[in-house]
Order: sequence, then C-alpha cells, then structure tokens
Amino acid sequence: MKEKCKDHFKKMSEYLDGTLEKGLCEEIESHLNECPDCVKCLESIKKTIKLCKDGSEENMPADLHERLRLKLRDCLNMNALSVF
Amino acid sequence: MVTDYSEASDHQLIADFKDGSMDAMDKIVERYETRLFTFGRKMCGNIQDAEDIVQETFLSAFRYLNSFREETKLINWLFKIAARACMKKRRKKKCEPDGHLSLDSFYTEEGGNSTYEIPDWSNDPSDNVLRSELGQIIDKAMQSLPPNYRIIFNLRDIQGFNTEETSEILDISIASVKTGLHRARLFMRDKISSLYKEAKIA
Repeated sequence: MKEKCKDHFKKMSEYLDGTLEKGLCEEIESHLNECPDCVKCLESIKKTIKLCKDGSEENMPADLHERLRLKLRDCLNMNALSVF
Repeated sequence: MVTDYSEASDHQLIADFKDGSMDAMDKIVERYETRLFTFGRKMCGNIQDAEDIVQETFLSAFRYLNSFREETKLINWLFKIAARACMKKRRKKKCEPDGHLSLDSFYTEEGGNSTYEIPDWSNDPSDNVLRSELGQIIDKAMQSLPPNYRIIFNLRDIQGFNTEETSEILDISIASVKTGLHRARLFMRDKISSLYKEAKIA
C-alpha cells in the first residue's frame, strides 16, 4: 500500500461514519477521485458493515421470554425487602 | 388492574417499578430483551450464554436500579451491565482469541491484487452460498475477532450506539472506540471475504 494511501486508510472508518473533520474529509475525497484501490477498499468496508448489520437480529428461543419473566419475579420477590 | 404500558417512557416504567409494579418490570424486559439477546448471542457465540447474559443483565439492573442516574438512557445503562457480563464470561472461557490487532496487518501488498468479496443478503440464485451459510460465516468471523474489538463492533455497527455512547458503555476513551472499530471492521471484512470465497468453492 502506498504511503499516501496508508494515511487515508487510517481514517476511512471515521470518513464513512461522517465524523471526520471537514479538512481531512476533503483530502480523502480528493484522494478517492484518483485512487481506485482506495475506492475499492472503502466500498469493501461499507459492504461489510451493511452485511453484518442487516442480518443481525437474533431470534430468541420461544420460551425465553416467559422463563425470564418468571425468573425475575421469583428472584426479585424473594429479595423484595432488600431491593430498595 | 393491569396498566397499559405500551406508550410509557422508560422513566415512567422505572418509577412504577420502584413503586412495586411487576407489570412495569415486564414492560421494560419486553422492550429490551431482544436487543440484549442479540448482543449476548453475538458476543458469546451461543444461545445458552446469550440467555445467561440477558438474565444476569435484568437481574442486576432491577436489583441496583437505585444507582441508575435518570439523566442516562436506560438502554445505555442496560448495555453497560450486559457488556460487563459478556467480558466477565469471556474471561472464563479457554478458547477465546486474544490479542491486539495492528493496523499494519491490514495494509495490502503494493501492486498486489487483493479483491474482497463481500456478499449481501439479497437472494442471488446463482450464488451457491445459502443464507444460512452466510449467517454462519458472519458468526465465525465475529467469534474469531478478539473480544475487545468484537464488543466495540457489536455496540457500534450492530446495535447502533454512537462513539460517545460506546465510550460511556465500555468506559474507554473515544480514541479507543474509533481505532478499535476501524480495526474490527477491517478484520471482519478480511475474514468474511476469505470464508465466503472458501464456501463458494466447496
């Protein structure tokens, strides 16, 4: 990786998140206009985030909600006097 | 009489719970259990541990509700408890990946041809990697990411907390959240790409 690319590479996540200060942002954008490798790199990070986020919700086991509810009532009732 | 808590704010629910309402407690649980379960499942890699995390988090939260500062968001506080529980669980496991990720390890070879193949969830019939396999690939990648980075990735990119919130939840600096997240993303990208390429050939 070229040294110039390395500098921008460090800041790619912040750039993607929109939290990079304006000056650095403009520098990266200007670099992206002339560096297809960095464009690919940025895209690959973006796709990774999207993939992980989109498939993320897990299904709770069907009975967990009820078991949890009962367990909490059980434990908290037992400790009723010491909770507050 | 059962109160309809569907529109109640978290603070209202907390107040009612402190007054002894178990319905308010149920509502808080219902509101956040799935998110906490998802977080636990992704951190710990299995359902049983995820269940433990959810249970421990709520038990702890309700027991120590008096230490909850009302200017904080309840969800952030719950995740602070859950994050601690996950890291504690992790310390008891033997086969967790360890270590530090250095940025240099992600630099591509100059002149090299590194292509990253990152799939998406759209059902492409010509793609022989099934959705379920894709889920497993992501899971495997996540479990091989060292826990300190995994937790940042989980909070920021999966759960959607911002940098400041993540810093607060984990009690680490903003700079640590930023560098940790960047390295986690790069690791996940590389790992998912290589696992996906393997799966396509198989």
